[in-house]
Amino acid sequence: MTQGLKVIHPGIFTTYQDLGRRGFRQFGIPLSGAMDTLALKAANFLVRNKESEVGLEVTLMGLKLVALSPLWIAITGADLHFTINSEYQSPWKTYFLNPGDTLHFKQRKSGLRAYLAVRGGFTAPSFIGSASVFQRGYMGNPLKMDEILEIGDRSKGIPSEITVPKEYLPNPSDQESIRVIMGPQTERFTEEGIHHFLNSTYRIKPQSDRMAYRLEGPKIIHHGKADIISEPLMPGAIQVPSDGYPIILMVDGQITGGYAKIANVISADIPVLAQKIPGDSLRFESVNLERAYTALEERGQLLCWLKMNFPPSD
Amino acid sequence: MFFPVYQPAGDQAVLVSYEERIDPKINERVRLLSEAISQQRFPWFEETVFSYRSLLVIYHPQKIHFPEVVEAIKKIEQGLGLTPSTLPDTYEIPTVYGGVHGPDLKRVAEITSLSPKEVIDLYSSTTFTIYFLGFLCAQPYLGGLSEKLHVPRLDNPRIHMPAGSVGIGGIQASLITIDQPSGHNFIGRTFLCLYDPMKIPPTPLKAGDRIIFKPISEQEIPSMRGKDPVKKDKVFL
Repeated sequence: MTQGLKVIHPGIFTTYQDLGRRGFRQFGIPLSGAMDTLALKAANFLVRNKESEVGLEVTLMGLKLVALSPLWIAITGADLHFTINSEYQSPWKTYFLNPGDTLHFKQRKSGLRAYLAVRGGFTAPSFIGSASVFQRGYMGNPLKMDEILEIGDRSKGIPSEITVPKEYLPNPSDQESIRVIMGPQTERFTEEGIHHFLNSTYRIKPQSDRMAYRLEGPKIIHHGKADIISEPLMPGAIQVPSDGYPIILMVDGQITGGYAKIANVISADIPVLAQKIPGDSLRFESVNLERAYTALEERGQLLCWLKMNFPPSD
Repeated sequence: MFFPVYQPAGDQAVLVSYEERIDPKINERVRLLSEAISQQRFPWFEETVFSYRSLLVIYHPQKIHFPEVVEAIKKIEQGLGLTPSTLPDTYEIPTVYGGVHGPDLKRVAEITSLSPKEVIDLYSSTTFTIYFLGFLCAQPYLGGLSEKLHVPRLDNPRIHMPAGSVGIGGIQASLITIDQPSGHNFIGRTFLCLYDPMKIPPTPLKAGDRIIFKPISEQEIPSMRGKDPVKKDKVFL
């Protein structure tokens, strides 16, 4: 292990995230992991890591780090006006750092969550098989002032200066429509309610986080009660409580829930949602499963390109 | 309608639903199906998660699509046996009732027209069954609460209830494993460790297990604090 970076300022909310905890939902353990998995995987590939290596999820702004040893990093996801030694550097690129170089995510330009991967990956404490921070479950904490971030050693496969070509860049902030698969309780809602859901603009409320996005807009009315017998949920599930305002479960979301679900966000669009901030608006578009599977393949093209050209190495 | 019903829950999971009621028999069928699917080790399989009467089968959409998953589940469902491969365990959970550890004991007694002692006697003599672990962090959903103890949730949920609190939320008994806001009526608390994120799995409890909330005195708290739940002898079906 090497001392890689030191936290000068932890920013608003910066956490270790990998691809989350799989296989433990039956114990009531949420998936967790990066909200924008596409961006984390891409950052890892850029520095020749495995896609599942631990990275930093930088939320909104403020994180300031100083390099303690020579290292390769990659920045992806949101454009949070990232600077090295006060000079602006664009995301979706790799950078080589010398000891003493300072990194700063100064302010949000677009998107919400940036990802920082480092060659070798961060050596972070593991809880139930993953380093993903999930505070409510006593699994780790956001970064703190003066914390030293340690990095795994890797000798082979030195990364190089890579920029992701423009045609592969996801543009989540341009996408206003979030695609959904209707159900499983669509029949619980009135025709008017369903019409509102699919034809209105909803705004993301401030009380939105890695557990859930709360939305406001035209009410989605139920036929009868909003409650169902508690049922298992996936990230992306859109629950509607009796007040008629939809709640989208995200990666830290609960495992079971007792409100009727009008639809589920397709997997390809979860990273798009992850980059939206409170105040942003969105619309829902109903698609079929075939379209959802195709969309997921399309989203995977960037990762395919990276994997082919820059295969992970030990 | 024929049960179970198979529906997409997004593009990575199939929701399998049985009859719409809370019933130990239905829940057992759900558990059996979950177990049987997991044992197959399908290459497309990620995990299952279930609650009272429904089961999510999570799959890798890059490897398989919804219709094929449904077909595979149907085959298993039709050939499902009647007995689970693992026997349930019974746990005695030492519980301090009333006082600061059970702030709603009085309210429960008033609403049920029972004395606090009668509430404790009834609650602690019940053998609860874990239908499933859900919500967050291994929280058990318990069946078996006496109708006499059905008490509506609080109008104003408490902002903070400590892990280990034991109580009643409507028609359900509850045991919370992490600190959280809650509107349930809490009548006692255990100081055992029911959820440990440093362990795999994070709890010894599993769906199907039985729980008894055995009354203990406040003086006994230090001897149980932070310990694991202790199994009683196996229950034979």
